[in-house]
Amino acid sequence: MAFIFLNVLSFFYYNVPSRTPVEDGATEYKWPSYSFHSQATEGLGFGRVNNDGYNNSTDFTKDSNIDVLLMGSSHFEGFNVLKDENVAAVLNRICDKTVYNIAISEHTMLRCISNLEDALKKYKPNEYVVIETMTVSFYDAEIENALNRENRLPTYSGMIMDVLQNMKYLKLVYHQYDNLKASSPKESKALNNEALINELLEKAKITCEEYGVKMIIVFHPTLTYDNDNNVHALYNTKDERILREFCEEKGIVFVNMEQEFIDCYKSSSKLPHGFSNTTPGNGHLNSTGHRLIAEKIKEVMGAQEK
Amino acid sequence: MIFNSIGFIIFFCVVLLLVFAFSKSKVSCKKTNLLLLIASLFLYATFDYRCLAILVALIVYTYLLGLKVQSEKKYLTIGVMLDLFLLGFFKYFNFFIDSFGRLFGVGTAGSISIILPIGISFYVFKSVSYLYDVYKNRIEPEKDFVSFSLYISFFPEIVAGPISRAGNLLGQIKRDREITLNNLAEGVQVFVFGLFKKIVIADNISVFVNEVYRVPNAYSSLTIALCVLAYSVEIYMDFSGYSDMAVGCSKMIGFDIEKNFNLPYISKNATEFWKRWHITLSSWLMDYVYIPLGGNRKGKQRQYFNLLLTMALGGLWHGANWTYVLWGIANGIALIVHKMYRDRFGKKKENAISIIGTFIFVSFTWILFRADSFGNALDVLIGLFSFRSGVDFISSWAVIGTVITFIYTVVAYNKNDKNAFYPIFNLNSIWGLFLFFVFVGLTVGLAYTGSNPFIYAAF
Repeated sequence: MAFIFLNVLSFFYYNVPSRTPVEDGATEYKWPSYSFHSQATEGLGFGRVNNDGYNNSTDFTKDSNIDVLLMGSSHFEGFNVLKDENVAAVLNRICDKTVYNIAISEHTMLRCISNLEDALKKYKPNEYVVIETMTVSFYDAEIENALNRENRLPTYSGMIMDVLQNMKYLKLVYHQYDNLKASSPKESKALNNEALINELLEKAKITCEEYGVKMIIVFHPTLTYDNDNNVHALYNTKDERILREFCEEKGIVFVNMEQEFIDCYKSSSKLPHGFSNTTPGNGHLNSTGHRLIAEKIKEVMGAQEK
Repeated sequence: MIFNSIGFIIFFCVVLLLVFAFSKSKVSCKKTNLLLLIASLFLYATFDYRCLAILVALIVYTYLLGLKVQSEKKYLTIGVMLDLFLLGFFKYFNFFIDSFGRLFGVGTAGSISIILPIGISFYVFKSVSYLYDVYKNRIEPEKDFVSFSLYISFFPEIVAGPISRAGNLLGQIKRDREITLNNLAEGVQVFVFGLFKKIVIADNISVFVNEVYRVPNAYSSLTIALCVLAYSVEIYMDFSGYSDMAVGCSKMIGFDIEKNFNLPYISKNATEFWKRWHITLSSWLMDYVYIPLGGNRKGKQRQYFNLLLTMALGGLWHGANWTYVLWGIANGIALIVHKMYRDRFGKKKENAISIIGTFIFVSFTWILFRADSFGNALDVLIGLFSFRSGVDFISSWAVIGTVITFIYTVVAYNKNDKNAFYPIFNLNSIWGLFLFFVFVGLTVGLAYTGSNPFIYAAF
């Protein structure tokens, strides 16, 4: 009885749908159609995904006319904010293009580029594909996996897994266990083999040219500030420079949100990451972060069209 | 292995099973005590095996001196000096070197790398109180080495108290104890209650408090005000939560140890606050510092001096930092002011304003307690009173924790005659079992899962 009650509570407190396989390869998994999600452990968000299994307000059909395809991880997916606050929803409001979001948890920039061809084949965006990243530093092994499409994210199927995945309280407990493991100190990353990332970006460039779209990579670093109110973003500047230069060579637009984030902090003391139930400045993009990125993407697209 | 770890849960389950088996098999309490002693020393060694030697050394010399202390005062002096030396060296050596160096501008070349044995402040105090009580003939010296060792190293208390008196705990150690289902049912619920306070409320709030204290100048006055309030809740939940876990564990293995907190935030003045907050420490300070200094027996001026010195030492006990000393002095001054007020105006009926005023005062003094340095404390105070803008961060957990603490306090105030209580469900009923398992489930589901040690374990 208590377990049932806790499952009901978890349904509203922390409810992540179960991962289902994706045949078209645009992402490595997706959520079941129209499944309900809720998130109150970090930020506050709830709603249903669309028929396609992604966090969009509109359904996807074969006739959907998409101008801008968003790809990325849980940051762009926006489960931590209300449905009308994520990047895709804001962009759909402020620009006259149709934006479609297939960002989904754990899809790093590397995975997105690895899946890029399948994503463009399915969604056929007319103008842009935007990929989000919170880091500019990657292990060699990660880049190699992306190049070879190896070490794909697991999906869950089968009766027992289905039952377990639908026990929301167990998922919450597993989420707690995951966080506990993650709280141990990690080795910091750095880009060792520049040739690898160059090769991956070259592959992305060729794919985009083939499908006639422009690629935009949006990098949104975490801000840190000290007691004298000096604020800067946390990242490896050498890796950022390498990534930016490779992107410029290949005609990929690389956007570093650092200055926009700092300007926002200085003018309104608002930070782009973090929520009232976690820590300011850390974690996923909040509504401020989503809005700033959407505005920047609009600006960049406008500049491209001039 | 701290209480809120899976390792401790496993360890305790094993100990409990063995104690239960011994109890059912009518094994003598001496053998059960030996088991508990081994368990206590094992648990202590898991923190740092090097510190075990220090604990064992203290147990041995306190035991031996305790056998002789009734015959000559010099053995009491030797024992207390050894205790103070241990505490002074491991906890305060570098602090005094640094302070001396800064005062005379001679640098800190003398400081050395010293480990701080966990719980040293607590078991040293137990040693001092034991020797003094034996000297004063309040208790007989303990001849059984195992019983005495268990008294000092008793694992539910070793990390962060309560500071049990020998008269109470030793008496229970030497008695036959039965493990009853009632004790188990009550003990586990008290443990879970304490765990909820610590890992759900205190730890979630600490994320917010730590961030604001890290960079107070970045935050708005409103955020800092919420942080000051939140820290009052955090430290209360953290420390009382630990104490509850200690009470719960002890209960399950057949011991009744002292409650350490009794709704401190309903206190109407500083004197009452120190009768409700960290009760075993404040009573220890009264019996072994304040009264031996003369207490109130040598005139008003001397009484005030004794209060100030006792509280300053109490502050220093909390940590090797001048902010703790100043925190202690502030509380000493509050006690003096209250006594002066009472002497002048008599014991007047105090009201809600007294409770709120005392709470505000205590919350302000917690700023000194929490800050890393005077500069940090000053930044927080300036931020609080400057009505400035900055990062606005209204922490949900700070609000939730405050509301829960307030509701619990109001319920306890009305339902339990202004005394704290443990919400114990009847586990023989379906409804009681349901509520208990829901509570356990919420504790696990809502717990903060970053790393956060107990505040008082650092002392």
